[in-house]
Amino acid sequence: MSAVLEVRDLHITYASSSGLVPAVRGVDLEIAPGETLGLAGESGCGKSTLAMALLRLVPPSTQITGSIKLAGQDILTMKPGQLRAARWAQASVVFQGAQHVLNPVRRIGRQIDEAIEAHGSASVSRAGELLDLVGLGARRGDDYPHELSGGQKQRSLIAMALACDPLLLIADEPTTALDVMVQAQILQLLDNIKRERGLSMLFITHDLSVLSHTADRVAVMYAGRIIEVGAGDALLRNSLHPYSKALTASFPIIGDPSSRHQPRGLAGDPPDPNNLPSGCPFHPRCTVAIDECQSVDVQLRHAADDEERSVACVLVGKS
Amino acid sequence: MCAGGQIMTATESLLNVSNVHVAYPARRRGGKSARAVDGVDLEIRLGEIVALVGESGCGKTTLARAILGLQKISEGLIAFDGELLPTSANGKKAFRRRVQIVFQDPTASLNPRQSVYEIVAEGLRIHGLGENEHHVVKTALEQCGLHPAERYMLKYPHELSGGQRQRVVIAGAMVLKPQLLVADEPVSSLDASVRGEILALLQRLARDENMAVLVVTHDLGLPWNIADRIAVMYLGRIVEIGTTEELLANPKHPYTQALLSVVLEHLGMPQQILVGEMPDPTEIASGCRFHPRCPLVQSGEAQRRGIADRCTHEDPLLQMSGNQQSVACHAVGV
Ligand SMILES: Nc1ncnc2c1ncn2[C@@H]1O[C@H](COP(=O)(O)OP(=O)(O)OP(=O)(O)O)[C@@H](O)[C@H]1O
Ligand SMILES: Nc1ncnc2c1ncn2[C@@H]1O[C@H](COP(=O)(O)OP(=O)(O)OP(=O)(O)O)[C@@H](O)[C@H]1O
Ligand code: SF4
Ligand SMILES: [Mg+2]
Ligand SMILES: [Mg+2]
Repeated sequence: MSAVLEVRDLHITYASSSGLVPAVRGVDLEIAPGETLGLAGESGCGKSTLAMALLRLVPPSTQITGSIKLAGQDILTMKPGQLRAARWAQASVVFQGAQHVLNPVRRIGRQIDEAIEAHGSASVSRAGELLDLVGLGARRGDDYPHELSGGQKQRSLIAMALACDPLLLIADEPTTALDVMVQAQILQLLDNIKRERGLSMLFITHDLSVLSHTADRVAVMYAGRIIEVGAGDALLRNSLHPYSKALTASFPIIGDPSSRHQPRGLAGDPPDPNNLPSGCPFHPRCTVAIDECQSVDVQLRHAADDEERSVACVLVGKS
Repeated sequence: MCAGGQIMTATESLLNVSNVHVAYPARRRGGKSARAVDGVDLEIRLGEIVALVGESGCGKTTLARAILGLQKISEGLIAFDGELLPTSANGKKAFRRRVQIVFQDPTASLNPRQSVYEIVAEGLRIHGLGENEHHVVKTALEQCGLHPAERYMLKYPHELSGGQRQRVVIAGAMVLKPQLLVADEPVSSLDASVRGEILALLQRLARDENMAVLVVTHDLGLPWNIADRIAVMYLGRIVEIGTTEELLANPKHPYTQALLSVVLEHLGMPQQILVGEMPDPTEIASGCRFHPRCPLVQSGEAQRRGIADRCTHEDPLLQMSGNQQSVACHAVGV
């Protein structure tokens, strides 16, 4: 089957008062029907920018080049009317820190129906059905946002995102502010919905431990690019790029003697998009860098011993 | 039984919390007060790192604030180094030097108009320890991984990354050579890559300076990384406490078991996702406070073991179970 989402050579540059900010610098990715792609990387690497651009939800002054195909249609060349139809119906987003997206003076159920009506679909209220689906219960439709806990608000946002039966759900840090137990509830919910509806998902997080049970494939971003991508379990267990290695090591495996009393992190500062290092953008923080790393900016290429894996590092996959 | 051959004994106890209660008054007239901390016993020994874990709203921050003398307790006793928390102004000042705090969000705890140097020197000046100030500040910054210190001293918080800001906060606490550092979610606002560096710093400082640390977290990976012991809190009470190895390998309280099952899925443990949101401290259940969500009660297992009645009517006390482990659950040992 053809991909639900296909992104080619995507570049996204913000125009800010202090100049151009190249937030995404050449990303390729695809998501198959029913597949979940996890997108990880530290703060500022461009995850949300990438997610927003998929539905052209970035400020109008932003330059976007490359191509984004959603169910075969090119998002970047769509007319505004087509684009509005694609939002919600083809793909919808559960935003990062989304609690604030809810209108505080409107009942939850009403807000869900409005999302549906905006697309002229369904004249009867489906809010109750959707609230049941996310485990909140139809009755909560009469509540105002302040009457819900963080986890409940997150559930109602998921209900809203599912209102128009999208093919792709983009979830940007959907559990970050939540407690472990509530987080587990939401992840289980997303997993069930995904399975029942054959939904594809782009799941963004900086917490790799969350991806271990959600993602079929994982992509790791650094400085606006994907630097490693592969099958979820294999990548999390055995990452090959030195940055992914540092990232996975900073989430200890409980019970693993090698991380007991051995917290590991990554020294150095995250890159400044306005002032990227030469060569491999990771080289100033890389503990295994060689001279070549300062001048050669390696593109993502297949790793020799795992055909599903691609890595952007001079030390990996060189034949 | 550390490397030096010293043997830890109870006499090396630094902090003793005994049957401490904190109740916040009702928000509305006629409402009930929130029993945020509801009978906590906790001992912290010299130089050890204790992690306090539990879900949002279970009372971790309230307990930490009570230990720091920042929150009035309604019942119970807190003793530091063998003496009750001071009440006189002088006594409080001396105490505040020996016990320091680090909060979750470094940005909120730094004054944006002070330079890094001034931030770190401030505590020294308050406590009249200004002698050799420049040298002490420089040493503390470098000890916290900001070297050469000269590069950072004249910067302002907005010119630093999140991880660097947290290092400045820790340096400001360390100049006073505290015996106890209370760190409330010290890494949860930081990037994963920075997390390990800050934890390594806390662990190194604890060892080098023989400083005890109480670290509040809801991340169970953190204690595996740095803590000697873990205390699990549920709805205002510590329901299980033990050495990190013992407790993580063999959790005995059903709540601890559920918490671990959701984070340790890769070990093949079936997930026990508790339903419902954080419980409400204005409505603490009778009997065992966990019984409305307890999987043993819900599955009928408590009934089979003949303890169901006690679960709903009798408040279980924290009791020794194992070498250094204590658990508050009627099912343990039955
Ligand atoms: N509207 C904007 N104008 C200018 N620069 C922006 C804008 N939004 C984001 N940026 C910059 O683009 C880069 C990528 O930001 P983005 O929000 O995509 O990161 P992220 O990976 O989602 O980070 P986080 O994990 O913190 O959410 C950052 O350097 C950020 O400062
Ligand atoms: N000033 C206050 N007045 C009334 N109730 C309060 C106050 N501060 C906290 N509470 C309540 O006391 C309980 C414990 O709060 P506390 O902040 O100690 O929890 P916590 O374990 O630190 O949670 P978190 O992980 O979210 O930081 C909560 O139910 C909270 O709503
Ligand atoms: S005392 Fe009873 S209700 Fe409480 S945790 Fe133990 S088994 Fe569950
Ligand atoms: Mg983001
Ligand atoms: Mg707290």
